Amino acid sequence: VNRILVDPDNGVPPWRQIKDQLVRLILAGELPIGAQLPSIRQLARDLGLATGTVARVYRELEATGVLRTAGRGRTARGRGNRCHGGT
Amino acid sequence: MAMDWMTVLSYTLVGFILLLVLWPTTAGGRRVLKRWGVGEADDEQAKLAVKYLRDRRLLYPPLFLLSPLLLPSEWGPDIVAAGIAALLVAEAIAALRPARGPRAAGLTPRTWGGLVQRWAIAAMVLLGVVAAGMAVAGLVAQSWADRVIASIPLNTEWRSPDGEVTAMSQQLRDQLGTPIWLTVVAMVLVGLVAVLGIVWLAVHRASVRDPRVDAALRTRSARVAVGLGIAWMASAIALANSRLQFLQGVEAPEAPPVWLSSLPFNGLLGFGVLLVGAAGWYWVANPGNRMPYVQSAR
Repeated sequence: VNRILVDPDNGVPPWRQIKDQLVRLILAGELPIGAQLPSIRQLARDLGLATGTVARVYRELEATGVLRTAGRGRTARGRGNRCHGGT
Repeated sequence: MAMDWMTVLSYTLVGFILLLVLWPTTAGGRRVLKRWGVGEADDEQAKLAVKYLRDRRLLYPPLFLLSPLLLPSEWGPDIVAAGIAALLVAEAIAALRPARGPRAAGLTPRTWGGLVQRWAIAAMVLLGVVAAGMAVAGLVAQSWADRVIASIPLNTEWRSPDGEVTAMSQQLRDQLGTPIWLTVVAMVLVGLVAVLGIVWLAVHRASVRDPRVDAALRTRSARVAVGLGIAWMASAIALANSRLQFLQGVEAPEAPPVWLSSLPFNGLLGFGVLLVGAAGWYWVANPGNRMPYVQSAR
Protein backbone atom coordinates (compact mmCIF):
# COMPACT_ATOMS: atom_id res chain seq x y z
CA VAL A 1 0.00 0.00 0.00
CA ASN A 2 1.32 3.46 -0.91
CA ARG A 3 1.41 5.62 2.14
CA ILE A 4 3.12 8.65 3.58
CA LEU A 5 4.58 8.50 7.07
CA VAL A 6 5.26 11.60 9.10
CA ASP A 7 7.12 11.58 12.39
CA PRO A 8 6.96 15.07 13.92
CA ASP A 9 9.77 14.19 16.34
CA ASN A 10 12.47 13.04 13.90
CA GLY A 11 13.93 16.51 13.34
CA VAL A 12 12.98 16.78 9.65
CA PRO A 13 10.19 19.28 8.91
CA PRO A 14 6.91 17.46 8.06
CA TRP A 15 6.63 19.12 4.61
CA ARG A 16 10.08 17.81 3.74
CA GLN A 17 9.22 14.30 4.89
CA ILE A 18 6.09 14.30 2.72
CA LYS A 19 7.87 15.74 -0.29
CA ASP A 20 10.75 13.26 -0.14
CA GLN A 21 8.41 10.29 0.17
CA LEU A 22 6.17 11.44 -2.66
CA VAL A 23 9.14 11.97 -4.96
CA ARG A 24 10.54 8.55 -4.05
CA LEU A 25 7.22 6.82 -4.71
CA ILE A 26 6.75 8.57 -8.05
CA LEU A 27 10.29 8.04 -9.29
CA ALA A 28 10.21 4.40 -8.23
CA GLY A 29 7.02 3.97 -10.25
CA GLU A 30 5.09 2.88 -7.18
CA LEU A 31 2.75 5.77 -7.86
CA PRO A 32 2.08 5.30 -11.59
CA ILE A 33 1.95 8.22 -13.99
CA GLY A 34 -1.53 9.67 -13.96
CA ALA A 35 -2.32 8.28 -10.50
CA GLN A 36 -4.53 10.73 -8.69
CA LEU A 37 -3.33 12.02 -5.35
CA PRO A 38 -5.51 12.89 -2.37
CA SER A 39 -6.64 16.48 -1.99
CA ILE A 40 -4.60 18.88 0.11
CA ARG A 41 -7.29 18.83 2.79
CA GLN A 42 -7.49 15.04 2.92
CA LEU A 43 -3.75 14.53 3.22
CA ALA A 44 -3.41 17.33 5.78
CA ARG A 45 -6.25 15.95 7.90
CA ASP A 46 -4.97 12.38 7.70
CA LEU A 47 -1.51 13.47 8.82
CA GLY A 48 -2.76 15.93 11.42
CA LEU A 49 -1.00 18.84 9.69
CA ALA A 50 -2.05 22.30 8.55
CA THR A 51 -3.36 22.48 4.98
CA GLY A 52 -0.65 25.04 4.22
CA THR A 53 2.02 22.41 4.90
CA VAL A 54 0.65 19.99 2.30
CA ALA A 55 -0.19 22.83 -0.09
CA ARG A 56 3.47 23.85 0.00
CA VAL A 57 4.58 20.30 -0.89
CA TYR A 58 2.16 20.06 -3.81
CA ARG A 59 3.12 23.54 -5.01
CA GLU A 60 6.80 22.71 -5.00
CA LEU A 61 6.29 19.36 -6.72
CA GLU A 62 4.16 21.05 -9.37
CA ALA A 63 6.86 23.65 -9.89
CA THR A 64 9.45 20.90 -10.39
CA GLY A 65 7.21 18.96 -12.75
CA VAL A 66 6.69 15.93 -10.53
CA LEU A 67 2.99 16.60 -10.13
CA ARG A 68 0.50 18.29 -12.35
CA THR A 69 -2.92 19.70 -11.71
CA ALA A 70 -5.55 17.86 -13.73
CA GLY A 71 -9.15 18.90 -13.35
CA ARG A 72 -10.03 19.01 -9.69
CA GLY A 73 -7.07 17.00 -8.43
CA ARG A 74 -3.37 16.41 -8.77
CA THR A 75 -1.79 13.51 -10.55
CA ALA A 76 1.69 12.01 -10.54
CA ARG A 77 3.61 13.12 -13.60
CA GLY A 78 6.53 10.72 -13.44
CA ARG A 79 9.69 12.76 -13.28
CA GLY A 80 10.61 16.31 -12.63
CA ASN A 81 13.43 18.73 -13.33
CA ARG A 82 14.59 19.09 -9.76
CA CYS A 83 12.79 16.37 -7.89
CA HIS A 84 14.74 16.63 -4.68
CA GLY A 85 15.07 20.37 -4.74
CA GLY A 86 13.36 22.52 -2.20
CA THR A 87 13.82 25.18 0.35
CA MET B 1 -39.87 13.07 29.68
CA ALA B 2 -41.01 11.19 32.79
CA MET B 3 -39.53 7.73 33.28
CA ASP B 4 -39.47 5.54 36.33
CA TRP B 5 -36.18 4.36 37.74
CA MET B 6 -36.82 0.74 36.83
CA THR B 7 -37.09 1.67 33.15
CA VAL B 8 -33.94 3.79 33.33
CA LEU B 9 -32.08 0.96 35.06
CA SER B 10 -33.30 -1.61 32.56
CA TYR B 11 -32.13 0.50 29.61
CA THR B 12 -28.74 0.99 31.27
CA LEU B 13 -28.54 -2.74 31.94
CA VAL B 14 -29.24 -3.49 28.27
CA GLY B 15 -26.40 -1.12 27.34
CA PHE B 16 -24.01 -2.86 29.74
CA ILE B 17 -25.04 -6.34 28.55
CA LEU B 18 -24.45 -5.25 24.95
CA LEU B 19 -21.06 -3.87 25.96
CA LEU B 20 -20.12 -7.14 27.68
CA VAL B 21 -21.33 -9.32 24.82
CA LEU B 22 -19.69 -7.14 22.18
CA TRP B 23 -16.50 -6.29 24.12
CA PRO B 24 -13.83 -6.32 21.41
CA THR B 25 -10.93 -8.75 21.68
CA THR B 26 -7.89 -9.10 19.43
CA ALA B 27 -9.51 -12.08 17.72
CA GLY B 28 -12.71 -10.06 17.32
CA GLY B 29 -10.74 -7.15 15.84
CA ARG B 30 -9.14 -9.54 13.34
CA ARG B 31 -12.54 -10.94 12.42
CA VAL B 32 -13.96 -7.46 11.83
CA LEU B 33 -11.00 -6.54 9.63
CA LYS B 34 -11.30 -9.77 7.66
CA ARG B 35 -14.99 -9.13 7.03
CA TRP B 36 -14.19 -5.62 5.82
CA GLY B 37 -11.44 -6.62 3.41
CA VAL B 38 -8.23 -6.80 5.48
CA GLY B 39 -7.43 -10.51 5.52
CA GLU B 40 -4.63 -11.90 7.71
CA ALA B 41 -4.38 -8.78 9.87
CA ASP B 42 -1.28 -8.63 12.06
CA ASP B 43 -1.30 -7.76 15.78
CA GLU B 44 -0.85 -4.02 15.17
CA GLN B 45 -3.74 -3.92 12.72
CA ALA B 46 -5.95 -5.94 15.06
CA LYS B 47 -5.09 -3.54 17.88
CA LEU B 48 -6.28 -0.58 15.76
CA ALA B 49 -9.55 -2.36 15.05
CA VAL B 50 -10.02 -3.19 18.75
CA LYS B 51 -9.51 0.47 19.66
CA TYR B 52 -12.02 1.57 17.00
CA LEU B 53 -14.63 -0.92 18.26
CA ARG B 54 -13.96 -0.19 21.95
CA ASP B 55 -14.31 3.59 21.44
CA ARG B 56 -17.77 3.06 20.00
CA ARG B 57 -19.05 0.30 22.25
CA LEU B 58 -18.01 2.04 25.46
CA LEU B 59 -20.63 4.62 24.52
CA TYR B 60 -23.47 2.08 24.55
CA PRO B 61 -24.28 2.15 28.33
CA PRO B 62 -24.45 5.97 28.64
CA LEU B 63 -26.32 6.31 25.35
CA PHE B 64 -28.80 3.57 26.23
CA LEU B 65 -29.38 5.46 29.47
CA LEU B 66 -29.74 8.83 27.77
CA SER B 67 -31.70 7.97 24.64
CA PRO B 68 -34.99 7.05 26.41
CA LEU B 69 -34.55 10.04 28.73
CA LEU B 70 -33.88 12.56 25.98
CA LEU B 71 -35.88 11.23 23.04
CA PRO B 72 -39.68 11.30 22.80
CA SER B 73 -41.26 7.93 23.65
CA GLU B 74 -42.59 7.52 20.09
CA TRP B 75 -39.04 7.62 18.74
CA GLY B 76 -37.97 4.09 18.40
CA PRO B 77 -36.44 1.68 18.28
CA ASP B 78 -34.05 2.78 21.02
CA ILE B 79 -31.36 0.33 19.93
CA VAL B 80 -31.19 2.02 16.50
CA ALA B 81 -31.12 5.50 18.08
CA ALA B 82 -28.34 4.45 20.48
CA GLY B 83 -26.39 2.83 17.64
CA ILE B 84 -26.56 5.94 15.46
CA ALA B 85 -25.66 8.18 18.42
CA ALA B 86 -22.68 5.97 19.37
CA LEU B 87 -21.33 6.09 15.82
CA LEU B 88 -21.84 9.84 15.59
CA VAL B 89 -20.21 10.66 18.93
CA ALA B 90 -17.26 8.31 18.31
CA GLU B 91 -16.63 9.66 14.81
CA ALA B 92 -16.84 13.23 16.11
CA ILE B 93 -14.36 12.45 18.89
CA ALA B 94 -12.03 10.80 16.35
CA ALA B 95 -12.29 13.89 14.14
CA LEU B 96 -11.58 16.30 16.99
CA ARG B 97 -8.85 14.30 18.73
CA PRO B 98 -5.47 15.97 18.10
CA ALA B 99 -2.90 13.80 16.33
CA ARG B 100 0.10 12.69 18.39
CA GLY B 101 3.26 10.79 17.47
CA PRO B 102 4.05 9.30 14.04
CA ARG B 103 1.19 9.37 11.53
CA ALA B 104 0.46 7.64 8.27
CA ALA B 105 -1.83 8.47 5.37
CA GLY B 106 -2.80 6.46 2.33
CA LEU B 107 -2.58 8.07 -1.10
CA THR B 108 -6.00 7.10 -2.38
CA PRO B 109 -8.39 10.04 -2.88
CA ARG B 110 -11.41 9.55 -0.65
CA THR B 111 -15.03 10.45 -1.36
CA TRP B 112 -18.25 9.43 0.32
CA GLY B 113 -19.21 7.48 -2.79
CA GLY B 114 -16.16 5.29 -2.25
CA LEU B 115 -17.25 4.41 1.28
CA VAL B 116 -20.95 3.75 0.91
CA GLN B 117 -23.19 2.82 -2.01
CA ARG B 118 -24.87 5.83 -3.60
CA TRP B 119 -28.12 3.87 -3.97
CA ALA B 120 -28.12 3.28 -0.21
CA ILE B 121 -27.99 7.00 0.52
CA ALA B 122 -30.68 7.57 -2.11
CA ALA B 123 -32.85 4.83 -0.55
CA MET B 124 -32.47 6.34 2.92
CA VAL B 125 -33.37 9.83 1.66
CA LEU B 126 -36.30 8.41 -0.31
CA LEU B 127 -37.65 6.61 2.77
CA GLY B 128 -37.24 9.86 4.71
CA VAL B 129 -39.20 11.76 2.06
CA VAL B 130 -41.98 9.14 2.15
CA ALA B 131 -42.10 9.39 5.98
CA ALA B 132 -42.23 13.20 5.78
CA GLY B 133 -44.97 13.00 3.12
CA MET B 134 -47.01 10.71 5.36
CA ALA B 135 -46.42 13.12 8.26
CA VAL B 136 -47.84 15.93 6.12
CA ALA B 137 -50.81 13.70 5.30
CA GLY B 138 -51.31 13.24 9.04
CA LEU B 139 -51.14 17.01 9.50
CA VAL B 140 -53.76 17.56 6.79
CA ALA B 141 -56.01 14.89 8.35
CA GLN B 142 -55.61 16.51 11.78
CA SER B 143 -58.01 19.35 10.90
CA TRP B 144 -60.70 16.68 10.32
CA ALA B 145 -59.74 14.98 13.61
CA ASP B 146 -60.00 18.33 15.45
CA ARG B 147 -63.46 18.94 13.93
CA VAL B 148 -64.57 15.49 15.07
CA ILE B 149 -63.44 16.20 18.64
CA ALA B 150 -65.21 19.57 18.62
CA SER B 151 -68.43 18.11 17.21
CA ILE B 152 -68.91 15.39 19.82
CA PRO B 153 -69.18 16.54 23.44
CA LEU B 154 -67.47 14.24 25.95
CA ASN B 155 -69.38 11.00 26.66
CA THR B 156 -72.21 12.03 24.33
CA GLU B 157 -73.69 9.28 22.21
CA TRP B 158 -74.24 9.78 18.51
CA ARG B 159 -75.70 7.65 15.80
CA SER B 160 -73.49 6.66 12.88
CA PRO B 161 -74.91 6.57 9.31
CA ASP B 162 -75.50 2.80 9.63
CA GLY B 163 -77.60 3.37 12.74
CA GLU B 164 -75.08 2.30 15.37
CA VAL B 165 -75.02 4.28 18.60
CA THR B 166 -71.49 5.20 19.64
CA ALA B 167 -69.82 7.27 22.35
CA MET B 168 -66.35 8.79 22.21
CA SER B 169 -64.21 8.09 25.27
CA GLN B 170 -61.75 10.58 26.71
CA GLN B 171 -58.92 8.23 25.70
CA LEU B 172 -60.02 8.24 22.06
CA ARG B 173 -60.41 12.03 22.15
CA ASP B 174 -56.87 12.34 23.52
CA GLN B 175 -55.51 10.03 20.85
CA LEU B 176 -57.33 11.93 18.11
CA GLY B 177 -56.11 15.26 19.41
CA THR B 178 -52.44 14.24 19.62
CA PRO B 179 -50.90 14.53 16.17
CA ILE B 180 -47.55 12.86 15.51
CA TRP B 181 -46.55 14.65 12.32
CA LEU B 182 -44.01 16.78 14.16
CA THR B 183 -42.49 13.69 15.78
CA VAL B 184 -42.14 11.95 12.41
CA VAL B 185 -40.65 15.03 10.71
CA ALA B 186 -38.21 15.46 13.62
CA MET B 187 -37.25 11.77 13.41
CA VAL B 188 -36.55 12.17 9.70
CA LEU B 189 -34.55 15.38 10.07
CA VAL B 190 -32.51 14.24 13.08
CA GLY B 191 -31.89 10.86 11.41
CA LEU B 192 -30.73 12.48 8.16
CA VAL B 193 -28.45 14.98 9.90
CA ALA B 194 -26.95 12.28 12.15
CA VAL B 195 -26.36 9.69 9.42
CA LEU B 196 -25.06 12.15 6.82
CA GLY B 197 -22.91 13.68 9.58
CA ILE B 198 -21.38 10.26 10.31
CA VAL B 199 -20.68 9.69 6.60
CA TRP B 200 -19.07 13.15 6.37
CA LEU B 201 -16.94 12.43 9.43
CA ALA B 202 -16.01 8.99 8.08
CA VAL B 203 -14.62 10.77 5.01
CA HIS B 204 -12.97 13.64 6.84
CA ARG B 205 -11.75 12.45 10.24
CA ALA B 206 -8.05 11.87 10.93
CA SER B 207 -6.71 8.50 9.83
CA VAL B 208 -5.48 5.59 11.90
CA ARG B 209 -1.86 4.56 11.35
CA ASP B 210 -2.47 1.76 8.84
CA PRO B 211 -4.08 2.87 5.53
CA ARG B 212 -5.67 -0.55 4.85
CA VAL B 213 -7.20 -0.70 8.32
CA ASP B 214 -8.17 2.95 8.00
CA ALA B 215 -10.02 2.29 4.74
CA ALA B 216 -11.83 -0.73 6.21
CA LEU B 217 -12.91 1.10 9.37
CA ARG B 218 -14.05 4.23 7.53
CA THR B 219 -16.09 2.07 5.16
CA ARG B 220 -17.58 0.16 8.09
CA SER B 221 -18.58 3.39 9.88
CA ALA B 222 -20.26 4.87 6.80
CA ARG B 223 -22.09 1.70 5.79
CA VAL B 224 -23.29 0.79 9.28
CA ALA B 225 -24.56 4.36 9.73
CA VAL B 226 -26.49 4.34 6.45
CA GLY B 227 -27.83 0.84 7.20
CA LEU B 228 -29.09 2.10 10.56
CA GLY B 229 -30.43 5.20 8.81
CA ILE B 230 -32.51 3.06 6.45
CA ALA B 231 -33.93 1.12 9.40
CA TRP B 232 -34.60 4.42 11.20
CA MET B 233 -36.48 5.94 8.26
CA ALA B 234 -38.48 2.74 7.88
CA SER B 235 -39.51 3.00 11.54
CA ALA B 236 -40.54 6.64 10.94
CA ILE B 237 -42.78 5.48 8.06
CA ALA B 238 -44.21 2.73 10.27
CA LEU B 239 -45.02 5.32 12.96
CA ALA B 240 -46.72 7.66 10.45
CA ASN B 241 -48.57 4.69 8.95
CA SER B 242 -49.90 3.61 12.35
CA ARG B 243 -51.28 7.12 12.94
CA LEU B 244 -52.99 7.28 9.54
CA GLN B 245 -54.33 3.75 10.03
CA PHE B 246 -55.75 4.84 13.40
CA LEU B 247 -57.42 7.91 11.85
CA GLN B 248 -58.92 5.74 9.10
CA GLY B 249 -60.54 3.52 11.71
CA VAL B 250 -62.20 6.33 13.69
CA GLU B 251 -65.99 6.36 13.41
CA ALA B 252 -67.33 9.89 13.57
CA PRO B 253 -70.36 11.91 12.43
CA GLU B 254 -68.21 13.57 9.80
CA ALA B 255 -66.69 11.04 7.42
CA PRO B 256 -62.91 11.14 7.04
CA PRO B 257 -61.50 12.81 3.92
CA VAL B 258 -61.85 10.63 0.83
CA TRP B 259 -58.11 10.40 0.28
CA LEU B 260 -57.62 9.16 3.86
CA SER B 261 -60.15 6.36 3.50
CA SER B 262 -58.97 5.32 0.07
CA LEU B 263 -55.22 5.06 0.69
CA PRO B 264 -53.85 1.72 1.92
CA PHE B 265 -52.54 2.67 5.34
CA ASN B 266 -52.69 -0.70 7.06
CA GLY B 267 -50.75 -3.32 8.98
CA LEU B 268 -49.47 -4.85 5.76
CA LEU B 269 -47.87 -1.56 4.72
CA GLY B 270 -46.28 -1.21 8.18
CA PHE B 271 -44.95 -4.76 8.02
CA GLY B 272 -43.68 -4.25 4.45
CA VAL B 273 -41.84 -1.07 5.42
CA LEU B 274 -40.19 -2.78 8.38
CA LEU B 275 -39.10 -5.58 6.03
CA VAL B 276 -37.62 -2.95 3.68
CA GLY B 277 -35.78 -1.44 6.67
CA ALA B 278 -34.40 -4.81 7.73
CA ALA B 279 -33.36 -5.67 4.16
CA GLY B 280 -31.71 -2.27 3.74
CA TRP B 281 -29.81 -2.76 6.97
CA TYR B 282 -28.69 -6.24 5.86
CA TRP B 283 -27.45 -5.16 2.42
CA VAL B 284 -25.87 -1.87 3.40
CA ALA B 285 -24.41 -2.41 6.87
CA ASN B 286 -22.67 -5.66 5.92
CA PRO B 287 -19.57 -5.84 3.75
CA GLY B 288 -20.19 -6.48 0.07
CA ASN B 289 -18.16 -7.42 -2.99
CA ARG B 290 -17.89 -3.80 -4.04
CA MET B 291 -16.07 -1.63 -1.51
CA PRO B 292 -14.10 0.77 -3.76
CA TYR B 293 -12.11 2.59 -1.11
CA VAL B 294 -11.09 -0.62 0.68
CA GLN B 295 -10.17 -2.25 -2.63
CA SER B 296 -8.14 0.74 -3.82
CA ALA B 297 -6.23 0.87 -0.52
CA ARG B 298 -5.00 -2.74 -0.91
